[in-house]
Amino acid sequence: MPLLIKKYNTILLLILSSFLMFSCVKDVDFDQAETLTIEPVIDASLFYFELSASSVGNAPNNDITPLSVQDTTKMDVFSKPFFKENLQEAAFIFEFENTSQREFNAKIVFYDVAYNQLDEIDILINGPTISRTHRYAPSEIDKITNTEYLKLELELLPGTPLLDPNSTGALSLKSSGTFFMNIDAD
Amino acid sequence: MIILFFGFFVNAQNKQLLYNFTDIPQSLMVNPGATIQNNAFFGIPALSGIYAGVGTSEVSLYDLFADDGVDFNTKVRNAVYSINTNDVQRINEQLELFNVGIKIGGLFSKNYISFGIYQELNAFNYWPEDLAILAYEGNSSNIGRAFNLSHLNAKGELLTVFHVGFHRKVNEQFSYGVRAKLYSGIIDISSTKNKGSFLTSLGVDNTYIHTLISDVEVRTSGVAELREEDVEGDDVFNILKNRALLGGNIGAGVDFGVTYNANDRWTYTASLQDFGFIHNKTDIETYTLKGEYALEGVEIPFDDIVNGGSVSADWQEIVDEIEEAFPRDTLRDAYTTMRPLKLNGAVIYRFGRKNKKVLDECNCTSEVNNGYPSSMGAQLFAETHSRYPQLALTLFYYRRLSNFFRLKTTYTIDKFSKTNIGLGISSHFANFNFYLLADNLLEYYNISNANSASLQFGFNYIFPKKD
Repeated sequence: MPLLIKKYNTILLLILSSFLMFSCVKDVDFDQAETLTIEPVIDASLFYFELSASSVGNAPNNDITPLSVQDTTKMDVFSKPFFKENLQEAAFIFEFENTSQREFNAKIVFYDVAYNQLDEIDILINGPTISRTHRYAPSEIDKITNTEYLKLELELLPGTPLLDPNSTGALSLKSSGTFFMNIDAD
Repeated sequence: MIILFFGFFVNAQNKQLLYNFTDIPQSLMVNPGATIQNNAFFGIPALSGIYAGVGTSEVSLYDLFADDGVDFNTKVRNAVYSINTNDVQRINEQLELFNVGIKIGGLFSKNYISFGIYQELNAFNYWPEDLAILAYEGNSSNIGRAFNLSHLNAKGELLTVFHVGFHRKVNEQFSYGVRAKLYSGIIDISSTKNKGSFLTSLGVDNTYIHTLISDVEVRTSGVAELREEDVEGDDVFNILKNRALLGGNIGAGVDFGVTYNANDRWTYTASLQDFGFIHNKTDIETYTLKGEYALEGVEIPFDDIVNGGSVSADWQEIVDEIEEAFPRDTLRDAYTTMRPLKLNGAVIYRFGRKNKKVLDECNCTSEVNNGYPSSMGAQLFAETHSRYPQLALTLFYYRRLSNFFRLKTTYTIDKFSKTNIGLGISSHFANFNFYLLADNLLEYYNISNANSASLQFGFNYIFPKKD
């Protein structure tokens, strides 16, 4: 009987040690983690305005020229490391709605930190709704990632009627950006 | 090979193999009222109890890292879309520094005390589904979807536990035990009560409106000091050592357990572990992000420019507003965390031909297995977590193979696996006890494919029971 038990034990030990020996990790490659890339797409509102025809009517001689109606704002979000390192492509979407009786021209200018002009988008607003998408391919993405300031200017195109403080309607803009990111493991 | 094995084995705190495996003195650690089969024992220092377990529900390491030619990013994609906020990832590790037990008050006394120190590491994370989807897809394809910030729910702790347990066998039928614990917290990180959402929806004045409502808090204790730049290897060790020895965060807790032998075939046991708390007061850094803000973009005040001429849109103003809306506070206030409470219960039925000879040879007491070589039964395990308890149901079979070998096999169903077979052995040679408990054996041929796995082993010296 004791002999039998000993045999039993030996067998058990063998089984046990074989568990330890053969427990293994099959064909696993952790280096794959380095190839991880995620490609989130971010939509963000940018700037907007509404300019009423009556305000234009208040201006002497409807003087809405690039010099008189322009605004430059600091927009340094795109040059932050998150965008600078990971932004692959971008698209800016501008949607103008014009219910006034006159046509406008809008210009959006991108500047770097030293006020060097990086890009300029001209949009002729000659209809009730004008929608324009401006894309930046990977090769020209640094126009965006170097942007520190944005300028928006408006110009009232020659035409009739002359707008007065009682004129109805307005010019409005909604804009957004779609940012295609490419974030990799290193 | 063995090292690799350890690397991977760091499972749930469910110790289904150890519970009621009373041949192993450490079964007192999961039920202080467990049946005691020795007059005294001591664990071989640092080798008496080594436990490690990992668990990931739904997706295993192998699903991600198999060298199978499938593009890694495709596998990540499959993982991101197959796991949700109810899936958990966890790591547990325990190391007994020493553990001693002795019957007190003479040979026929009914009282037994045990005491020791062990170190414990736990990390528990609910998969932050919404945050993962947001990071993975971005908000573009999710206009109108509110990403839930409460999905961020994780905690981790590193501590030393000093314990002393008292066990009393009231009569042949009933025994109970209590274990008092003093916790010495080394590191605590928790973020479990988050609320809020991030939503991008169609705007009124502009294309989109982005709304962030946030009540997020991450509490840390014992992290800041280690993160400082001039802290190096030896310092880290000294800081940790000091905290491990009651120099950091102190807490207290208690375990309870009972064993009831209804008759010579049926036994019922139950235990409650770690009913306690840690008061975190050392080196606290609590980060909060609390506030609300809705952003439609930058308004260009052309109306005012035309009318007044001097106003300008100011991006910086918006940035300042947002920062004001979400004051980033780092608090130093002490906080208290509850230990994860663990509950075990079991029904045991004994059977088989009573072997008188075995009984005599091993000098085992009649109550241990009442002479029956085999037993089977069911166990239930529950552990509290911030959202809902983790549950596990185990069926087991125990057999005393010889005086030298006792074996327990388990089949466990829980969140991690429906095919978890475990095997434990306890060997007894010349008063030395060696035990080895491992679960998820079906996945042993490829441990990385296991959703959970645990391993526990240790060496003890046991003074045999003679009565």
